[in-house]
Amino acid sequence: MIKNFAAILFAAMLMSTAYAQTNSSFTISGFTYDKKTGETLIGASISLFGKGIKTGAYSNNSGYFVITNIPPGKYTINVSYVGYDSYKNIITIGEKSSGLLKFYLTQSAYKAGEILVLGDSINVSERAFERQVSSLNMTQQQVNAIPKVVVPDLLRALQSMPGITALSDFSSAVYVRGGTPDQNLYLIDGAEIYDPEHAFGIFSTFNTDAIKKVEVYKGGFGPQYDDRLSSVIDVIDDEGNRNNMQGVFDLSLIAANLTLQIPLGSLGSISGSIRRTFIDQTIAKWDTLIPPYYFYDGNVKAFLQLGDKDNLTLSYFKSGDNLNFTTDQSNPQSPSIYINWGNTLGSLNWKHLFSDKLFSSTYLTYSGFSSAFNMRESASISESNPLNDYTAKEALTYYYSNELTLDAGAEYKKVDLSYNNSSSSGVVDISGNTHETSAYINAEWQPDPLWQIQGGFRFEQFLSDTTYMHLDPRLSVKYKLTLNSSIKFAAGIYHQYMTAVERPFAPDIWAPTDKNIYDSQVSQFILGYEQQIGNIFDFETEVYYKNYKNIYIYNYNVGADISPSYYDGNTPVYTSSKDVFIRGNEKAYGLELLLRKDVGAVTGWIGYTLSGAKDIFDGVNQGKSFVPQQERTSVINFVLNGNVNSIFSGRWNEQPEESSSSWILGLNFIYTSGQPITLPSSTYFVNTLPAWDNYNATGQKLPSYKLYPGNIDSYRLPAYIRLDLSITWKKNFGTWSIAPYFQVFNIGNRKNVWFINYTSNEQNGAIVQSVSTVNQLPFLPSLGVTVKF
Amino acid sequence: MTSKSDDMKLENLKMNTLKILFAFMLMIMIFGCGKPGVNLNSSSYDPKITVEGFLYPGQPVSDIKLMRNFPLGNSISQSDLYLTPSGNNVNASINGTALSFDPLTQTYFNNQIMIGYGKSYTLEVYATIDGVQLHTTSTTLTPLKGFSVINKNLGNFSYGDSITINFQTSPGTVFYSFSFVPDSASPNNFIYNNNGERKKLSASDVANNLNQYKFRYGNVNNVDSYSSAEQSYSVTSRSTWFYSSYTVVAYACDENMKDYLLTAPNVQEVNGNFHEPIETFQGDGIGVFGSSVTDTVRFAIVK
Repeated sequence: MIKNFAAILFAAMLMSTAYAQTNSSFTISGFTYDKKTGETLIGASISLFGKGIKTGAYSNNSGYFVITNIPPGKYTINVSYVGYDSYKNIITIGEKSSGLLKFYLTQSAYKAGEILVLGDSINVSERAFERQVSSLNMTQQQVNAIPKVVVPDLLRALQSMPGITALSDFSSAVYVRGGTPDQNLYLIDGAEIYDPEHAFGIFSTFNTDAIKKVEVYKGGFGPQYDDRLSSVIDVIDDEGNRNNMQGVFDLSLIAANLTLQIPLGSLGSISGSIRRTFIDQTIAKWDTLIPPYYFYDGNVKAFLQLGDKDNLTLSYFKSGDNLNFTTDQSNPQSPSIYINWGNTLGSLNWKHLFSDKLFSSTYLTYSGFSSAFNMRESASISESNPLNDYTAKEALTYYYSNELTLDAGAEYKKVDLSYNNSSSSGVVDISGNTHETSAYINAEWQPDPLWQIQGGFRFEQFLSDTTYMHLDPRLSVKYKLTLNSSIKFAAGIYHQYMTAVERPFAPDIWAPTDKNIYDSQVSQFILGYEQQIGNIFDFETEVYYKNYKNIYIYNYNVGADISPSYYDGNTPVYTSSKDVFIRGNEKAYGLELLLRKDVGAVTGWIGYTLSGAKDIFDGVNQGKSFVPQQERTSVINFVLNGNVNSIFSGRWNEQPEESSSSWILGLNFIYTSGQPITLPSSTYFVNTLPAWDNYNATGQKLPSYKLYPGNIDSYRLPAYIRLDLSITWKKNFGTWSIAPYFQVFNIGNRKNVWFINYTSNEQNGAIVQSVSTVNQLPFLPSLGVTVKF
Repeated sequence: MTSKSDDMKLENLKMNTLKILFAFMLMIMIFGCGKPGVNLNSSSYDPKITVEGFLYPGQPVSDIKLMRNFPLGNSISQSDLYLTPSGNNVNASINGTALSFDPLTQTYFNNQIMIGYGKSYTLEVYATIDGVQLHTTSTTLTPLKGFSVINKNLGNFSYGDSITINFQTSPGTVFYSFSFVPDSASPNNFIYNNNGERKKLSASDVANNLNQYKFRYGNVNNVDSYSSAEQSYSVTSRSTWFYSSYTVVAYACDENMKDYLLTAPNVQEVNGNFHEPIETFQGDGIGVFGSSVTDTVRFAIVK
């Protein structure tokens, strides 16, 4: 039924757009660039006026655009982009092909706008209408402007958006609309990154100084994205300045960060960044109680222009965390711990224009994640978890007409992964590989200026020790109600073939879908409304409903449930993931409101989220449903960034005057309902072993004292509230600038509760129980300096 | 051209906007302070029959403790702990045969029920707690014959020496537990350089947590129980905290004991949250009703 409907719809699209085409029409296409750096501009607006025609297009992720069906004649072309001066000219469309057009835009002359998104000539409503359902974009400047925990962090910045939450201050992991972090697809230049965490999750691995653009889809994403249920976080790193060398050096209390962009003449450019913490080389040298821990990440990206119709991008990224700590250096038998984990990514992207209407993007990517863990205490444990992902994918875009664009692609992904754990209790040796072959088709149809319809399918075949096949439909519809308002709808079915064991203070462990772990699925439905207010504010609201099936949580009782596959001598060997996870379903729903101001001297947003989720997992909570830990019923976000002079003068919508120095204020406020947790419902006394028949009143901690859990996640911690503040003073010296900054995380020093501790003591012959709280991060000031040259 | 009054209006608008902004910032700063209170009400508390009962093949039923649980935050006295026939209308039976109550030890027994190897026994208890009539059952399948420790006196060892307990298995029994209790335990004979502890302990630390170091146990799971080869358990330094002779009781455990030992003491996760243990009771019971075959080993840690 769905297939028949799609076929009829597709035929209607072709017929309607074919009718619009004539033999005497022409096509123009080309690229949009930043004049200063030579980098392509993503999402620039190209408009064409004249002869009673008003048409246009937006540049894609490669800066490429196409406008078709143009009758010959003279037209006014207008090219505009956020923060840039518009380009306007008269062009003649005639018998001779105009070839590939190249438009170089100049950044607006306002100099104080480093953290600001400047006003542009594109109507805010047009940009809002073009934006995909449940999507948001963030630039490097916007990410860096949000007050941070010591160092800038992309994922923590995203946590300030409606629908995206964190579990605690100690984790940068993002939970999107009831989903878990392993349901997010993280991409860096097209390569998937499996565990984007530093410092046991406190920081993420994305170096914000290297980022060109971030696209985030909280749901309803198209068929070109695969293998994740909840969201897509697509990071495109800077290609590099093609005209002049430029750089950024950032020094914070714990890390140094250098980013360089170097032109390669007509060939292209190269850019790279390196970041490393230095606690191990400073404080840890003086205080032996501080573990010599460090993390680093770096990337190199080369952009090679191989002609007008071809370019090649080579990208490499590596991150690592290392902790090697012995409690007593003088005693070789003293407890020690060694943890090392990291990601290695490599991608090759060839973009080619087969014709002005057919754009091709070919990827070969490698993504490796590895972790190793060795602990020597009273007994030794060693663990390793290598994962290697080899992917080849092809994406074609065919600009059939101004009304119809067709996308098609195919992908093959091979993942080798293993988990090895060796201890006195046995050996875990789970290894294998998976093969995923997929293909998709997607049509973007604009039957008239008020409607925009996208629909497509994704076919997936997944092979491990069993085979899964799916054909997932995706649909997105947008309708302009008025010039400044629109409604949007999206729906789709998504599958995922990997799940991760989330471990506090340890790297995640990935496990593929197999005979024991079924393929996970979610059906998503999203309805949104957007309203532009005064061409300055963008108000949007969305409601969503998600129905998850076959999602997994870690089985904490796995030690009692698991059985060995065989014995090596007397040692049990486990080679199966059976009983490691518990299967379940989830229903998640919510309402999100966002009022956003991206233009002018003061930018920011206010967001509110009302959401809910219900989980039901096999054998958990006596089979009754419960609220997952990541659910937050109400969330309020408030983010403000701005030039201090502009704030106090009330000139919020104007650009700040050019000056050699400026003060920039950043503010981030968050309120969330308390986290659902499981409390013990009661205490009881049972000796662990019969030989310990020792219930007494001697005042000692009794080994027989035990806590019995209550209903799962039925208690909510107090509301989480936090206000962060940053102040930056920026001084320009012509070709370079310096910007020392001071920031405070949790300026109110609110004692947000992390978890609850339970203790028992004997007093006057009775056991007295008491509870205390363990809090999250306190008032945390930090400072640093950024130098741009 | 704007008039003077227009300029005034604009200025007023700016001032009002700033006032609203600062009021808002002040409000969120106030909200962003403070220490939220944690109010743990006991609404989720349900009274439960708490069982500590172990059966041993070749022995009669004895020392079955029936107790109650308590809401969090309550003060608990020993006299409130045990369920008695008179105070709680307790009716307890094993395989339908009633158990008697010994008021001296506050335990239930029946010398007529002799436990056998490889047999199934169901405990059924009715009791009233806090005015609520409760009922629970649990079934244990006792291990088969076969378990025995090979060398029951291992001799003296220095701290850090490798100590191994070798044993023969009971067929079908995959889980074995070892209880370590020193004959003498005090801060004076404590092993302060034990590498099972990451921080340096003082004598008062030891004194304040003496039972924590005195009562230790270790497990070995998924033993190849049908193999005729000897199995072994390596004693770790986490089990021996005192220079003393030790009595080690070794248990070949049934599935209930295994589930209890592996899950009930570990219901709190690293991040403070709780999860459910594997429950072997139907109805309103918690704790353990298990069975095992036991043996005893001795050794000493000397300076």
